[in-house]
Amino acid sequence: MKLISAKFKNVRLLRDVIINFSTDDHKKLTVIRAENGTGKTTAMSGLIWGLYGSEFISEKLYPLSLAEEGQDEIPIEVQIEFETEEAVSRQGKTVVNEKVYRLIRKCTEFVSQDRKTFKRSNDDVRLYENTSEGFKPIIQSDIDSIIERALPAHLKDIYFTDGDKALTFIESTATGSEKRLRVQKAIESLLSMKDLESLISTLKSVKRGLLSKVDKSDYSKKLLDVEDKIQSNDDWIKSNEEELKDFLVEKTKGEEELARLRKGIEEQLKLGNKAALINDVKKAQQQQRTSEELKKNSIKSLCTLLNNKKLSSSLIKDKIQPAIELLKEMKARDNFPKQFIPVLNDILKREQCLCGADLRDASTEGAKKRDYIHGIIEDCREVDLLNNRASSLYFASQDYLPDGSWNESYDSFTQNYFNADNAYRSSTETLMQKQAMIDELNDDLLISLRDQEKIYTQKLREVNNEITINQDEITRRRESNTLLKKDAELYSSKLNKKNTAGGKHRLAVALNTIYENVFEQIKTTELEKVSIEMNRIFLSMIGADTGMNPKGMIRRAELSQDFDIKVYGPNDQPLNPDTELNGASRRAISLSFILALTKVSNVKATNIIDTPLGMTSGLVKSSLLENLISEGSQVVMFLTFDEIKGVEELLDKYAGKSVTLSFSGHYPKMLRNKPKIQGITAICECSHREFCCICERTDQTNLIARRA
Amino acid sequence: MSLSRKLVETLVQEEMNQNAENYHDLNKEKLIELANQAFLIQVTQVDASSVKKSLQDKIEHFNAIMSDS
Repeated sequence: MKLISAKFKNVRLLRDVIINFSTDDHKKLTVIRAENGTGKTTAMSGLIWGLYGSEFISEKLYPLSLAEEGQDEIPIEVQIEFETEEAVSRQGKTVVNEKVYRLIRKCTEFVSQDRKTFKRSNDDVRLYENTSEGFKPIIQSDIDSIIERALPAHLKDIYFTDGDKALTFIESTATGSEKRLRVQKAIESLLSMKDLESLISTLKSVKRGLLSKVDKSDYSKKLLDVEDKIQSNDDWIKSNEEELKDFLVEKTKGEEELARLRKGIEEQLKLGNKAALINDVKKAQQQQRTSEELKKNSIKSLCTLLNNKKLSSSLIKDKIQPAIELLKEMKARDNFPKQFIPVLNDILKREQCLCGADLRDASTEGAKKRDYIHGIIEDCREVDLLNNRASSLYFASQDYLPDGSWNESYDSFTQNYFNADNAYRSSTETLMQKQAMIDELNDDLLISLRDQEKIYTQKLREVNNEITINQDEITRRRESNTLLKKDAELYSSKLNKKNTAGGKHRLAVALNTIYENVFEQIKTTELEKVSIEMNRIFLSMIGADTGMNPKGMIRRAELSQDFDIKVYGPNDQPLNPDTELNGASRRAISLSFILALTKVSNVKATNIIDTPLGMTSGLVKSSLLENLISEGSQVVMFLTFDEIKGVEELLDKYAGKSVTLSFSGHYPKMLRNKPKIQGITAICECSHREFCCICERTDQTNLIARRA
Repeated sequence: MSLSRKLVETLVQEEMNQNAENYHDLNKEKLIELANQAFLIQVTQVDASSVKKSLQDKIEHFNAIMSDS
């Protein structure tokens, strides 16, 4: 199938655009240069809608600018001209012819008053065949099957590729089984596996029908018996293969579920072991209590220290020191203590002096001396009081002698307090952390996950057993059929050759054998070829085959027998395409698979790719481009100006047609000249190296003016 | 048209070359032609019963040609 042209009428920004595609086998590339927001995706959607209808594109197609202008009934139309092969019967012979068709799909979209919703009429589809007498309409009932044969709708993801997305075959949002199913369906479809299965089944039925008409000779009876056995085995194999497929799907799902559960268990365990955490909490609590006690004791010590006389000494040491010095001097001079009064009172009481003199009041001498002593006592009383106070001060001052020990104690106690406080804070923080971890730990979840893991492990074991039993029995019956078929061939060859039914039966047997072997070949060899081709194209695209990066991370890619696209690094280490490949490599692996499948199936169909070179540069960019062009049969690329940079020469070499799309809304920021009509995308014939008054850009470099 | 018609035709040809002993008493060229037409019938006709009928007719037609030759 080849696209010849497409005409878009009122398809979003494409209000009136015709694109002619290159149909030249030597220059099979069509370049549609278009900046972001110009209508690239619209053109893709328009083509998909044109081919497959509203079932595939339900989003609004009408141009917003027309609705803004007040139009609420907007006619939409896409015309696609394409060339495809069609089988025709001519004189009893089925032959293949190249035919050109023009497909016209129309609808009307009704925009609501508030411009927020819309309704679409039913699609009106017409198909015309280009004949020597002009375009002739095809009957309505044949249209869908002709389109389906040309480009099956379920293969649209293969032929319409949006490079910016992670590509549906390996996109990370899809589960492993979804991806495998997509790959499997694409392979089955492109390699006609379903068609072949149906053909084989029909041929078996034809074969049996013919056998029943063969005359009842010995050989025909034997043949009939053998055929019955073969048929019985085939029926059993077919039904069990279906069952096996279900088991394999169940196995894949079970494995995925088990992997998910194990990841969940691992995550829960990463949060910590609950018993160990509780122990940690106890330790932290003990630590917290100890440091709290230490803190309290430190405060008590500090309080005691603040009540200590030493604090006063420290505070008054500057004042007390001179006083102490003075007292010391007085003491040295023996000024105190001088306690005369008690001594004098004592001798008065004893009425005799220490020297023995009479002090009796009765004697005149004694009375005279007693009066004198009383006088001395009176005189001394004042001096004694003073001395007494000085003595007290002297002895008391000893306690106030500053020795610096208070400061040391204060430093030490304060340090103890801060240490205790730090320890308290640290233990409190630890306690909170551990507590939070315990709170986060969901024991119920862990238990539930482990229970489910057990269930799925058991289920998987059972499924694996079923698979093994099924596969063994299928193999046994196939082997039995191989022997039975040899018998059938022998009996068939001995049938009376003049017997018409026998001859027809032999042909049906031969056809059946041919297609069974072809089908087996596709399932094995051709599938392996897809894998080999995918690897070759992929390595070439990312430049790993040229020795550019021999120590690169990516070493090979493979399509496994269970339809998994795998990428390997050094030492055959599997790489996860979702997480371990960069954007360019992810793009390359998906495109490689598509191209490999197209190449092996020998299919001629158009690859329409939107922004295929995004996220790429240098050698990878040119390599990717060259591979896309060389491996495809007709390639249409929507390229931005940035994507074109650096690959102009390759485009010169391969582009059979080039056009440029320009959106009027990009004036004046990106477009230099004011467009005649606003709200539309205009098309011009400018190639990737040219510009004109329609597409001239404000930031363009190295472009040449196109001659009209 | 089936997308992979050419692949199937190639594989039919290869099968006839590699396992010729399976079809030794039949006209190889005619059998290839019949096989290719059978595939075209399968992929161009939608209804299963019409595929079967066409296949029966085709086999009958080729049997007549091959018997005559």
